[in-house]
Amino acid sequence: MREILVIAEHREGELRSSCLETISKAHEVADKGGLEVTSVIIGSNIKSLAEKLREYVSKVYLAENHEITYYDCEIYKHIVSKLIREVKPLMVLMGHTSYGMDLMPGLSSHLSLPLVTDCIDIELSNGKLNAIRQAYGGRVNVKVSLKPSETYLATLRAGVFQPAKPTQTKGEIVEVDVPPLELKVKHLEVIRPEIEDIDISKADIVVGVGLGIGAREKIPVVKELAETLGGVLGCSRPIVDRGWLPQTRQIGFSGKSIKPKIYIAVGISGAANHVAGIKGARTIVAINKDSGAPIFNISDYGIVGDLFQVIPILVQELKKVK
Amino acid sequence: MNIVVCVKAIPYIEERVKIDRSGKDIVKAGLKFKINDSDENALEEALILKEKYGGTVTVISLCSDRELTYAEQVVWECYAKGADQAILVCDKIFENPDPYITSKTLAEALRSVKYDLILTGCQAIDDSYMQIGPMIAEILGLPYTTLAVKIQVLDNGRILVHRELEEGYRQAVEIKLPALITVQTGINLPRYAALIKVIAAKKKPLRKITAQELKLDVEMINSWRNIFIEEMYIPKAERAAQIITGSPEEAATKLALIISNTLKSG
Ligand SMILES: Cc1cc2nc3c(=O)[nH]c(=O)nc-3n(C[C@H](O)[C@H](O)[C@H](O)COP(=O)(O)OP(=O)(O)OC[C@H]3O[C@@H](n4cnc5c(N)ncnc54)[C@H](O)[C@@H]3O)c2cc1C
Ligand SMILES: Nc1ncnc2c1ncn2[C@@H]1O[C@H](COP(=O)(O)O)[C@@H](O)[C@H]1O
Repeated sequence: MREILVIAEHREGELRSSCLETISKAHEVADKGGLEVTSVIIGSNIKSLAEKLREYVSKVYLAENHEITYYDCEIYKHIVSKLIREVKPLMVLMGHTSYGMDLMPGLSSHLSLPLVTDCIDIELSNGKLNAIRQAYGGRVNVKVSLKPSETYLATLRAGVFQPAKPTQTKGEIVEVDVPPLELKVKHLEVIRPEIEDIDISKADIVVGVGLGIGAREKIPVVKELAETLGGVLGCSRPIVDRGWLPQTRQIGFSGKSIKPKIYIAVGISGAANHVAGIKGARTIVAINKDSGAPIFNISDYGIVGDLFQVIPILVQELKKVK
Repeated sequence: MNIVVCVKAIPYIEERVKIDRSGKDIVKAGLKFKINDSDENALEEALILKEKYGGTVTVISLCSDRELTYAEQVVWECYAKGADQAILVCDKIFENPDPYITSKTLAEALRSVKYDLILTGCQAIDDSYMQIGPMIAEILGLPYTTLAVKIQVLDNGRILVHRELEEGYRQAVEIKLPALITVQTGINLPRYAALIKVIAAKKKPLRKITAQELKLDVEMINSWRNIFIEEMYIPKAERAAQIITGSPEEAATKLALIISNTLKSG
């Protein structure tokens, strides 16, 4: 049976959730196409992770070596390339994560195999891979097909698919050699996030400010809304990039995931990398002057309008109803 | 240090997009174009390195004939900010290239350029592939690293890069030159291009390269294509937002009630 090979991701001794999500989508495709799902895991001290992984797939390729202390592009590329040449999987999948974004395009060029990234859906049709991905910050969906190939590469967006559940049977473990390599890119260390002033991931009420605010001096307009509600102020990435708020306030893929009762997004377009952090919000409210902003696609309530007109009145009214 | 920066002109979207008649692209007529976000950061990082260590900054952009004016505008802005040379790879056959076509072509064009470091943005936010940097590196046989939020030159042709992971985590890596690094936004605060300098820049020489000069033809380009766009459409809403209508006053007043009820119901 041909394989769908999932490149496992782990950090700090845990499998990443995107890895289990990718495995779950792989099973769905495999079941329809008469394929089996396998996985490769690379690192040091990963026996117990491989044990866990085998509950989800029929075979785990284990590449263990004490010198691989972390994700290392060149080592991963080498091991996975060799495996692809030997096993000839029909598909190689990985999360569209900081590892997947790094490894897969290089692998694609290296092996001359077609790659589609950041997929929100994939399907096999007559042996060809079709995918749906997004462009223009989530404003449009794009259906694409890949050039016919012996092996297809794809990265799947995190947070889209339900994580896989362990199966009854345990897959076999196949050890894979790790050859000595002379590396041109060397991992040095992991730098952990700063200690926070306020932990937005635990707040019940979060107001997010985005680039629609236009200037640092205007941030208090939105901050007042957060304070009136007894909530905290979070933001989108460009606000942090400009140094207008600290990194600890950033909501999204490279920031924090929040799960408040209510999230109010002000002047935020709703790019996937922001939305990744608000999936757990119970009620989402958006205020944006562009009726086509993707944020409205995932909101419960919305006002299409200028935040500078809406917010002051909203604050005033909230003070009244309190 | 001689640095190449790959820059792309992308449409700037402030309103609802429309799908064109082919059903495979958005309507681009009437849109303004600008330099891609992270490319602007990549250029800034190159200029900072040049100011510190000397050398040159060369910008390169690939576009179709139709997009030439936008690419030129972007390149003039790069000149105005301090780039030394600009290369525009422009031809009608570069209409809607896929990432591999762009990478192969840029890599071909770069074979005649001297560099120690190539910088690209981490993602072009129009089609958002996140492929081109690593692909160029692989084609040119260079080591690469991605999503840089800090770049620091060490001794002996080594560079320290902090690359961004998820949830505020970072990974520190060391990379040997020559190399390619993709740059994430937030690594620096890009300078502004003064308007007079942009106007003055239009007099600077611009190296234009056609497909023919690179010995590329349609057939070859088509054979590189990995990704075929079948259809583009506006996504359906996951949670259809109830849009609160009325004047800003009315809408804000209604929303205040909705918010306070939502909070009361726990
Ligand atoms: C690897 C990677 C990781 C990333 N991680 C994150 C992340 O963790 N978090 C994150 O947020 N982003 C992240 N991003 C960036 C993300 O892709 C978007 O660029 C970003 O979320 C856009 O922020 P924004 O919505 O504030 O800005 P924009 O997209 O510029 O949107 C501004 C919005 O404000 C509206 N607006 C303007 N003026 C007004 C007004 N007066 N009143 C009302 N509305 C107005 C506009 O209509 C627009 O919709 C990441 C990107 C990459 C490549
Ligand atoms: N047409 C182009 N010309 C020059 N550079 C480009 C072009 N397209 C993409 N790039 C570079 O590649 C990066 C990543 O693009 P992408 O892989 O399309 O997300 C961009 O940030 C640019 O630096």
